[in-house]
Amino acid sequence: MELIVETRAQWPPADDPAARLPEVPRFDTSAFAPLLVAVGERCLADRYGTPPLPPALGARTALVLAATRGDVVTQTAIDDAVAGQQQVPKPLLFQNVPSTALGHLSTVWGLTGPLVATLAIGDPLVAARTAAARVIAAGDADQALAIAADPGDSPRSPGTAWAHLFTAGRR
Amino acid sequence: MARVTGLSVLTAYGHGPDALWKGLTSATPATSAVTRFDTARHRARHAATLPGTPDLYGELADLIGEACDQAELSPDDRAATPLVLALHAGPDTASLAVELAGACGLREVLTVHTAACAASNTAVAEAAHLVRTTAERRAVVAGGSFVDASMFAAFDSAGILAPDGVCRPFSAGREGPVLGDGAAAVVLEQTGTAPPWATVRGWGNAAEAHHVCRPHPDGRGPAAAVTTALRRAGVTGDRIGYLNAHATATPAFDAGEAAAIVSALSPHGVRVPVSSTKALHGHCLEASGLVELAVCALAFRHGELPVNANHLGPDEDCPLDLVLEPGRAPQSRYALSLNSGFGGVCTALLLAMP
Repeated sequence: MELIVETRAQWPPADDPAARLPEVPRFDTSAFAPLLVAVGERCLADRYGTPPLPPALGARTALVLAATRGDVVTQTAIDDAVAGQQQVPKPLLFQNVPSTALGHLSTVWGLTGPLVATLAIGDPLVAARTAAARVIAAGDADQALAIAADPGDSPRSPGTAWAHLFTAGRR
Repeated sequence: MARVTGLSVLTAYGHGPDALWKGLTSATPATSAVTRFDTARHRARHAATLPGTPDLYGELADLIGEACDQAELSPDDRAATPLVLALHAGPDTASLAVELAGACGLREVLTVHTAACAASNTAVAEAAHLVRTTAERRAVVAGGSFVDASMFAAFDSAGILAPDGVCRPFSAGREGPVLGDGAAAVVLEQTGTAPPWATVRGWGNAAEAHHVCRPHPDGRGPAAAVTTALRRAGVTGDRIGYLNAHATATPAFDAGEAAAIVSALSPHGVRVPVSSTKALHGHCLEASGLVELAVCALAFRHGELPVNANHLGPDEDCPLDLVLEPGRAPQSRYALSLNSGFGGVCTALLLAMP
């Protein structure tokens, strides 16, 4: 299926490679969620300005993720707490699930279409585009915010992410 | 058509569909005090676990092989068949997934779904879409989650797990889930020679867009998923003969899901037989959708609905027709299976039985 790129974004921004990730409420252990949220916000803001989307448009907008791996920083924090017989900080449970970061984006922007979180096999950009094409081809959305991410392994190196807002081209 | 021609499952009740069915009809939870790791520091102490510490990828390889054997797939068939997975997103999950496909003689891994408790349903939906609308003749879907010390500690610290080790979905006095070991594999085919367990007729996926880890009280997310699944299948709510609920016995989530069932199937929602079998096999997280697909298929094959176990009494926030006694037969050949995950991802599968 042919897709049209309505708008795109990347993190870190090409014009500011040292940019600091905006903080995301409730996600303070790892840069995984802030990375996804930052790149998704930039893509949506470029196209729509400020949130939320009108309900009818939000219902036809899918949100898909293809990441090269999960949130290694949060998983390590949980494992370390367990190994050290310490209490696991309460927010780490939901932070350790990739769909939670997408849920933050969907809540802020009113995206109520399909939400699909995946690990990329191979190139995450290709995997994210493929997932976007599938949900649009299935008739469940008219457009998809597709986030591809290569998350880092420490809060100081958050990694790289790309977002594309796709719509259907020729079928 | 996406026919389920192979099905294998592993839960704390043991290996295979027969063990699962025997456990379900016993109405006795597969729960016990955890011995796999130390729980002395935790508020909760129980889970539905297999003996020892099973190897997830080894078990998945066995389950995939069994499902492919059951579907009568030759080595050449397998080499032409993709794998769709539902797993927790770890640091090396993608490479382990590729190794798993190779070990099973399958063509490739297409996708690893990671949306927590909704991962299996989204994986089945992807495979059904491929089989129904593309040139793929078949796809294998597999998923698994085994209880480990880190997972248990994170759930326990969040105060989610039932402290008494009893999961009471939709019940008065419910206090949360009990985690469970679970893994399963299915083969979905356009046609196939093996008699099907079920057909995946519809599916739905919607983001609730309310809160990252709290449900909207009106259940708008799961209701949207059910509505999409019904529309895709061309089935109306009055034809649903059983609904296997996500319900984890979390007070707010169960109430929201009940509201969703009532509204999405209105005016029939209050009369559709409903149970959450997580009270019996535990909450299998990423494997939930596949394990509960097996539960639905077994229920219809045996003509008996699994009970909503451990129910203490009605909760006015959950006005559902719960399956509280054994021996109740399905009212039709259509079943819905719901699962939702963190981030507000809500999913539904609509299964048609042979």
